Amino acid sequence: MQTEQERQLLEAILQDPQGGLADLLALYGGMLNAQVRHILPDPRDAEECLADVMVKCWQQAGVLQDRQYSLKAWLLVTTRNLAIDYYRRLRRDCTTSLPEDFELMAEELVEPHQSEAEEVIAELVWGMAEPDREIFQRRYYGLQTSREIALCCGMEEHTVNVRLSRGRAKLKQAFLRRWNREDPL
Amino acid sequence: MKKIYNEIAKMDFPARKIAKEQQARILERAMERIDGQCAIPARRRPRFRWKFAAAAVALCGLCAGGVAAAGYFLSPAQVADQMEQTELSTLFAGPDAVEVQQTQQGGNYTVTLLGLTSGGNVTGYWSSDWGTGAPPADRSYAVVAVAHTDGTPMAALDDEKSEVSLDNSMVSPLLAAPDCPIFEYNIFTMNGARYDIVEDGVRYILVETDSVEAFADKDPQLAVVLGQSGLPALTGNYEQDPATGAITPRAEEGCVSLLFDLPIDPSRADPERAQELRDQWLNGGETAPQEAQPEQQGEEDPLALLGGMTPAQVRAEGVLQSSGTVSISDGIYGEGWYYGEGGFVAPILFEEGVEQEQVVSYTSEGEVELLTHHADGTLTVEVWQLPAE
Repeated sequence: MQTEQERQLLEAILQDPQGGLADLLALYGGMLNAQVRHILPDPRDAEECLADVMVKCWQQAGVLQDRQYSLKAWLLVTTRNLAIDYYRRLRRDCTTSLPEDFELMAEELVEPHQSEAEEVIAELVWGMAEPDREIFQRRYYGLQTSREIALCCGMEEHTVNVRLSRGRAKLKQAFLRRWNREDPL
Repeated sequence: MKKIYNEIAKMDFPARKIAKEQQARILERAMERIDGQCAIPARRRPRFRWKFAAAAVALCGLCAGGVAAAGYFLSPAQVADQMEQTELSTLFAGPDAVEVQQTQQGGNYTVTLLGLTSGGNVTGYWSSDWGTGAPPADRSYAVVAVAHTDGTPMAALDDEKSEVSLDNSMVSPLLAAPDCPIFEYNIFTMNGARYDIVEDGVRYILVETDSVEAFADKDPQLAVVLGQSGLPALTGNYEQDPATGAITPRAEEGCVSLLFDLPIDPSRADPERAQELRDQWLNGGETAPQEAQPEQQGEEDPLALLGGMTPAQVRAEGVLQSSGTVSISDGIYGEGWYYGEGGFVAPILFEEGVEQEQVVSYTSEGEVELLTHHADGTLTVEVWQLPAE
């Protein structure tokens, strides 16, 4: 559900990209920066990635307005995917790898099937019972650490880790099952 | 997808402040790309870019022959000003600020601890530890200057060939006390953040953490590592005597590791606040179980008692039932350590390359499971039986 403020922001981006995107950064920049830095620890990479997010938002502003998508959620998903793409490009030079589930996403969310894979993952996460659904939404879309999730959900960090481990394995199996069945290739 | 979008939209996610300089750079780059896709430029007016970096390049050009001549550095307040942290600049000029000017050398670097101060959360840092509450009003701030000993200027922030970067250097407070091991008390656990600028060929590093002053009686120090980053940069380059807590640098090859005394008056220690911070950093905000008073022990929940035990206490009081060491393998829950009959530990529970141990489970029958993570990535699982109360 798009808020009135988001609708106005999208309108501003379409009318005056420079002013609209500056407002967008002021409103959501901190949240997106926190998210992207989980994947790209170097602030210079994070800035490059966030610039790409701004361009993508400008390109998609009309579509987002028409479809009434939540701008905040779209930004979180888009930022995550662009950060993973960016990480993938840098990976040859990186000595440190991502946490296992982010690596998994990096493998799965690859063009030309990225949006379809995204749909399948969203559907599987939606099918989870609480509190796993919130844990996975925070992990997969907010890229939050288990410590952050534990604090948000009022749980022990260890419990979050265990739930993530178990859920991840189930999700992977379900994803591969669905993907094999639905992917014509 | 829309269902998930709607649900995510309602959730709160943490923010990490983007300085105005950063916002301007992001916007500038985005607008360059957008202009490239438009027949008519979409920009309204020119914007500056890479202000810090450009300033650094220009100034380096002016003083290429002798950087930091005569040992001149910006003051901590000036550094904060250059970072557009005006409130922090005021703190560095205030009564709680301590000017230090301690200098040490390592490799071709001269590192100077310029000063310290403490006060409110003036940089806009956010930590999930604080939940929805107010940020603490006792954050600690320190500024160090890194220069080349031979006088050549330090590279600009955006110079890819820069030999000191966020990825290969570390500045962290450490506490030289036996109950404050390096792997538990460092910039990562202490809600730390770091900001760098290069001015006049000198790299200035500002670090902030939760209150170090509360631990003033724990011999606070500041570690500076050049050549490595992350927790291993601290655990690998400093040795801590478990009996006295004393910390000694032992630089690994290719690294410079220095240690500065933080001149904080021990009388400013605040044990109550220190305990509060320990609970926040290490126990997720829960109060660490205290040792029960003898007269209360009979009324205590045995599980609560077991849950409060340290690995050393378990070993001292228990009888070892079994022990085994396993390596990471792939299984039903993904990669991790699989042991015994259905035991599983996810890799994210431990920091890679770091020796760590912890009590992970205990039963009302007094059976305690103890995990020791080794630097080589193996995990030893011990089961101990404690005497029934």
